Amino acid sequence: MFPLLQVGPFSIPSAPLFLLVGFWLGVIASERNAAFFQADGKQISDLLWLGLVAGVVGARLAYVVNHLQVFLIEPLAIFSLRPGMMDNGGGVLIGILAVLIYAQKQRLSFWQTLDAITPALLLLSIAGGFALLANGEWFGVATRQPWGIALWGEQRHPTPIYWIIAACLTTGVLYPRPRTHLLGLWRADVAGSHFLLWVYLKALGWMLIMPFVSVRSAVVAGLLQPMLWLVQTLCLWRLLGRAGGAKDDDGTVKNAPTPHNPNQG
Amino acid sequence: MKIEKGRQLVVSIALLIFSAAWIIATPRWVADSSVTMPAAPRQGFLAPAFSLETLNGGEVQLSQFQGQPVILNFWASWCPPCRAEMPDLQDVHLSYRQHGLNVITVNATYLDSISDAARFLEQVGVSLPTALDIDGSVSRRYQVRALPSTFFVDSDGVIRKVVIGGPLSPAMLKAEAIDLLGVIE
Repeated sequence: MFPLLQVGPFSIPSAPLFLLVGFWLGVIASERNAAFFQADGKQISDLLWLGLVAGVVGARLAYVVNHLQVFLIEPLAIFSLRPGMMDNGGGVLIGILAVLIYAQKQRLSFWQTLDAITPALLLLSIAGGFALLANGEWFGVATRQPWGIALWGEQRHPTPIYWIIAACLTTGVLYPRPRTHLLGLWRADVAGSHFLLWVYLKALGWMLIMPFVSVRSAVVAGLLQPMLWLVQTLCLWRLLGRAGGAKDDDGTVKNAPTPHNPNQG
Repeated sequence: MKIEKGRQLVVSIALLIFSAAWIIATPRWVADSSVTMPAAPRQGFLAPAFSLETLNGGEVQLSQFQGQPVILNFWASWCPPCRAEMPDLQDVHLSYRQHGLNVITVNATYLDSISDAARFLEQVGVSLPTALDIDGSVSRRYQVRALPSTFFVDSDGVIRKVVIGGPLSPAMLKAEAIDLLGVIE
């Protein structure tokens, strides 16, 4: 656990740093590979940066809305740069909303855009694992396995490390696009397949790791696994449908700009 | 590239059967994970207990505030953000103490000196209960890696928020105080 990185006299929170670096690398990766998914790299880059900025601003706005009685008296505090005044859940929601509005205004194809941002999601997911590890979050249940780590008073499963391994494996398979047919589940010429495969593999990874994660609510633990199974089912069903020649948003089956070569990086 | 849909269907079903089997085979671990968490200095955990001498010669224990919310602030007199936020901590203490909010400041005395801490508090007119962490044991228990560090503990003794760094905004302190206390008219 290393929540702060000491750089000279400065203490830098490591989790946001990991996320920011992951996001930045992810934007570069998505921009560079956008053409493969018939998307415009500049538009994809703008979309992602807009999502980040809207997310940060939205996190502050959500915090303000949740504590309106205080900020009505001190409205200038809304612009304060001091720490602790963010609502992360609200920020994510507003960030996604801003991305959807931008995509709608720019008339971006839904599935092609999702495919094009998948490289960013892959790298961000790895960074997310390091952020969890740095903050000691998403920690595991107690274990006597030799690879357990001492955390919060016990030897525990290093579940953030499991997350990182799963994210790296997923990235190895999907970055910047699947290197193989992946058991026939992926087609380069069907828009949306890349993103759906990422969601499927992410859900599969979480489902495999969840039994080792310390969840204090048995109800939550009991619900999460079936939900992850449902997500996998929906992804596979959708992939099957699309591979069968499902039409895209604009009514056509999409073709990749270049024939997909399984050995292509 | 032609993909055989029948093969795809078989692979998909096999994967889903594997996933279902995994879920069914692992409830033991899930059940094991519902045990009560120990005290730890992070959100969602019980705040670690402590007992410290205070600047005025008394003693303060976290357990004496059982059933009441507590804002716990680690600071040192040489730390500029700690100095900047101290009057705001005093304000929130004065504004909400009648509602049951307690603000305890823990001076990192092992990195500071009692005389410097006392002089600073006198200069800014702060009269908050000030505990002295002379050997650093409480700072270690709370894994304080930077000053100031502030822990917002609810009336059940559970840490609701941790803010590393500062100075904290007065608006944020009020917002968190209201959250800890529930609705205040």
